[in-house]
Amino acid sequence: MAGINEFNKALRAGAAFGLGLAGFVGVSEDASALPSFARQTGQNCSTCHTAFPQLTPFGRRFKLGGYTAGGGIDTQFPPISAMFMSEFTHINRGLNGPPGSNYAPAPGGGYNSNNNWLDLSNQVSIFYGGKIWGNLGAFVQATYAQDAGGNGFAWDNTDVRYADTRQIGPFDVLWGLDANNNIGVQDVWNNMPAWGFPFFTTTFGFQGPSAGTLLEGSQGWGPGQVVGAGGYVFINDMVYLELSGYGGTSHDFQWAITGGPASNLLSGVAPYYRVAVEKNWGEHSLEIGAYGINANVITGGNAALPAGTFGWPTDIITDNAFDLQYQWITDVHEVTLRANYILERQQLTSSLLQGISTNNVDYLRSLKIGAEYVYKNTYAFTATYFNVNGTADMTLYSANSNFSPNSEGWIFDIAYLPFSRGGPSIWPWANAKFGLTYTLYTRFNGASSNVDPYATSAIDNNVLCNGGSVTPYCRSASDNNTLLAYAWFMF
Amino acid sequence: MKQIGLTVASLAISFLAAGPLHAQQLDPLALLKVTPASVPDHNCVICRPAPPLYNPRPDSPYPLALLPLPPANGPPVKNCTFCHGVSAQGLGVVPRLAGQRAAYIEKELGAFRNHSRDNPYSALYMWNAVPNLPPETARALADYFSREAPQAAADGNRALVDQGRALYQAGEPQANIVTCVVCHGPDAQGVGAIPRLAGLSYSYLKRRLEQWNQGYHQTAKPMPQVTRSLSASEIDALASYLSFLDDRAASR
Ligand code: HEC
Ligand code: HEC
Repeated sequence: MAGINEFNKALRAGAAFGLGLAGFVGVSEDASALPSFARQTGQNCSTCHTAFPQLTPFGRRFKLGGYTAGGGIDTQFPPISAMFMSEFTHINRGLNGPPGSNYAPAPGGGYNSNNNWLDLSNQVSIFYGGKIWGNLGAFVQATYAQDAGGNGFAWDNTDVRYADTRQIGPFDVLWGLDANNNIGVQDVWNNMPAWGFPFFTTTFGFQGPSAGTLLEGSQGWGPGQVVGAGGYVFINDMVYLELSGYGGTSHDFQWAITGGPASNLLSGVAPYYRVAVEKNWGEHSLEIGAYGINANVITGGNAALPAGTFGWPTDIITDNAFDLQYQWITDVHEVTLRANYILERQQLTSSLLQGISTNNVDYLRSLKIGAEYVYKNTYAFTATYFNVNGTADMTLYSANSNFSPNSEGWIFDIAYLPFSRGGPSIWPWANAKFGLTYTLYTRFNGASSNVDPYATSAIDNNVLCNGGSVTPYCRSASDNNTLLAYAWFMF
Repeated sequence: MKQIGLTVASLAISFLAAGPLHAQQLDPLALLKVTPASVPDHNCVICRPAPPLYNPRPDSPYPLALLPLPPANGPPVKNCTFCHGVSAQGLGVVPRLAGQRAAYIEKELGAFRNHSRDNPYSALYMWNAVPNLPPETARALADYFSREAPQAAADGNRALVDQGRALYQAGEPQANIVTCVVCHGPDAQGVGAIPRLAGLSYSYLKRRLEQWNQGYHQTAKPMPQVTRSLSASEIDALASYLSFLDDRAASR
């Protein structure tokens, strides 16, 4: 009986994914290889992306130039694109712990609510991407996602720019003004978490380790919950300097546009900086940079406070990051090496007061090192090592082993991009990506075994788990290993 | 269900968005039966119509009138500089255009358009950059870039400069190597449709000289014959020498 059930499940998963593969549906979370960009410039996706959304030196300059470069077809019509994404998620071991554990059954979705999820229409997005007029251009995404957050269309990543050039003495300066709605979406090197690897994560089950830095989205500020504006210069095609500020949007606005407020409020203006040097020679491109943000956060402020309350103590979150990117791009091979290190200092005045943290100051360090190889813009292979570690905090990480935020592992991705160098002749700007991502945890929320300290058996408590996963209730880091299959299509 | 509706709607919008361009340039049916424009196919039955020559339209009126934006003027330089560099000094594999001879730029744009310049990076990038470039705009761009002051890439091997200079100026008659100076000029600044070489990047010069021997761009007379007798080390020396030539003055 069980055997038949298993077979059925496998069959349905296989059939469904096959359907995705057939190109019927599919698409990405943060897709940006916009068909409207391809129409506008006349270029293939592969000019600006190795395997999207990873940018090439040309893609970076197209974006910094305000999405306004043309050369393609002048449609006299808004540059609209659409995308569709399907995904299938398999977690190594079901999320079926007993009540009270961290791994209680996950709600909804899929054919097996414990460790397999499938959604053929996981996400639908509509984009406005390209030149608005003259030097003004934009990338605007609206997304309908049914699993990730709320249900319904929501304002997604947006980046509006005005960019021009000017010769100042010996310097060729490309300068721009930018407004955006998500910290880091304006950046052009794919180390910044907003556009960094992994480009797709599952929207099902659990969302990975519990600890992350602000820049990695730990405050839960989705697009539109904060908005930012700033200016940048790019000097001699080499030195990039940017200064921006972010502020929170109002509750009413968040309800109206983003599907609801996040629980943590950004108070005041958070300054953000980015410096980078990119040197290009022949087929090589090397970037070294730093960036950071300093934010006053009222943790849990949404529940605790009405909008616009003043005088409440804040947590001060300071992120400073260093990044490195090397690319070797020929007409056949494309190698991208990425390294990113974020150091976060959390001054937890507000959290401490509210009993959310035990320490006054916590540190968090997040490292990612990865390599991507793409063959003829069509087959992409990526391997990335990640390591998050920081100060143990009895309250903040009360659910973690040893109250530690530490997690570590690898992410492998293989993808097939049939249309990077031009889509089907009736719609040459189409783009598609079909891929498999495997996330492997060697450490998860503080430990490699017994990562769910609340797991208890009916008769005994967690003691059973010490020394490894010996009972059905104990969970090791590798039980959270996740396979994600995705299919996306853009047109 | 809702998603399917949305998908259909977004598809419709997206096709609608491209509607005018189908009418203008890309008849999808014509696309299905094209013979590549590159192949001078004398007995082609269904030939692709010649690309329409349209007048470059001024930017359409700003639709929202929200911001007092200045109108774009001059040729659409941005269409080229996101690859060729902010002031067209070259970037990575992309050659410098600043200070290049206008007549040569125009000639090359034609060679990209008819695909006779078929070097791998030409096919990958430049073939897509020119099909919608009207001749008037191509001329205006060529003129614009030729007036920009070039900077020398100066990225070759300094140790080879003397050897390169000797080859450039005197050739090597016994090895059947002609002098470059007779055509490209004493300071390698070019003349007419003969390109300026001074200060182009080492990797670009090297690649160009090598690729003629690999069979690419055979229409670029007389260069395929000129490079035939050049050895790898001679190409290295020439490319190194030329990359250092200082040439601030813009040419026409
Ligand atoms: C997507 C990047 C890209 C864009 C956009 C682009 N180019 Fe190029 N261009 C290249 C590359 C790469 C080469 C070198 C081709 C080769 O190696 O054969 C090149 C070569 C050229 C050459 C030949 C130069 C020489 O010394 O022989 C000219 C002329 C040229 N481009 C003009 C233009 C103009 C004018 C535009 C704008 C309408 C433009 N390019 C837009 C990438 C680009
Ligand atoms: C008889 C005249 C003549 C001689 C001699 C000559 N060239 Fe050229 N060269 C040309 C012409 C004409 C072109 C442009 C060809 C085209 O693309 O249509 C050219 C193009 C080039 C280019 C390509 C530049 C670019 O921007 O892509 C290089 C490099 C070059 N020549 C190097 C040399 C070297 C090195 C020598 C000496 C070994 C040499 N040439 C000798 C006429 C000449």
